[in-house]
Amino acid sequence: MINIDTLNDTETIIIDVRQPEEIEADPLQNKLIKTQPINIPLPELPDRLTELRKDKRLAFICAGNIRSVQAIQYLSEKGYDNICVLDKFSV
Amino acid sequence: MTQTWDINGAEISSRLFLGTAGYSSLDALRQSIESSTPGLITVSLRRENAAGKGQSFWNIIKEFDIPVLPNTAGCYGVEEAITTAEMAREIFDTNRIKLEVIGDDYTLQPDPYGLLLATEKLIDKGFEVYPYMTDDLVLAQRLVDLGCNILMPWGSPIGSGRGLNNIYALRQLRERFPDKTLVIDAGLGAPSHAAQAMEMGYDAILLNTAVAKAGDAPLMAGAFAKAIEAGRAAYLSGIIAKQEHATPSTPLLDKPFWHQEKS
Repeated sequence: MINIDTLNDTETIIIDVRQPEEIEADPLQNKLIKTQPINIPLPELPDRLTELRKDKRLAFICAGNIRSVQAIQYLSEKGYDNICVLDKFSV
Repeated sequence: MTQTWDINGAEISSRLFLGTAGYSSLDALRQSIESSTPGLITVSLRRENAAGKGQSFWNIIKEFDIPVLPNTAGCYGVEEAITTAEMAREIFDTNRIKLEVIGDDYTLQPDPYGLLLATEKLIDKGFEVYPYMTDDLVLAQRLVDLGCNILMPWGSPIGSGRGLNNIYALRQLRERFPDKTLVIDAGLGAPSHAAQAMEMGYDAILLNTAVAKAGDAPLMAGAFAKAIEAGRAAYLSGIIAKQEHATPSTPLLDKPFWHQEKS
């Protein structure tokens, strides 16, 4: 798990696995986030693997870190090794 | 109307507890504290240590002579919550801990099983646990059995602004635990929600999002403070029972009081 202040935005792609309506109600707003996070709701992850690059670090974020942990558990089984949880409570 | 009250032996000046996360600026936070003069200020150790806010946040907290209630926001495991609580005790020099163990990511619903385990361990370690819980009656009884004197049921999911989702369950808690301190924690949106809970006899209200995300946070903080005082006063005054039919407010028509027979 990483905190927002250790995020290097140029080397990391943020994947927000919340539902679109959750993001609309509580958008990620932090000056350390300079590039638009990609929204892939957790249930859609298996069908959208082609959107996830293996040559970049992927940081997953959600509402309470639980879905993010599930996402990285799933992706590690799929061969992704540069993945982490971006602690929502640090944003 | 503002009177001090006692919570587990500590004298508290207000029945509003205010969270410190998610304000548009540190100045908005400071002004919200000023306008509502809360009895306790809750602080998320994980959030404030990590969010790059530096010393300025802590300076604001120190400006006010208000007790701090550290919380374990963002913890979804028992051991993680216990570690966070122990860190908070060292930093704030208080045994109080608002215990959050989250069980569901979509609703941020507390995990009742994890909450009980963490409560038991923290009480063994000498903590005064303020458990953030659902409105479940049996869970409340188990927490009391473990030694909790304070219970903090949710009104509705954190940040949802829905108010009191389950009035029946919340009334049951109040009736069944008349000697325990009950604090509504989470889910309120409008001051009327807070007044409603206080009119039911709840002891205090813990707020964060409803104030932090309001268009004018300090104004909303003040509005909540007034609603909580009004609700408490109404509870102490004795609210009349609801009836199906009208009852004339002047029962003896055409007969002035000086002509009424004395009983």
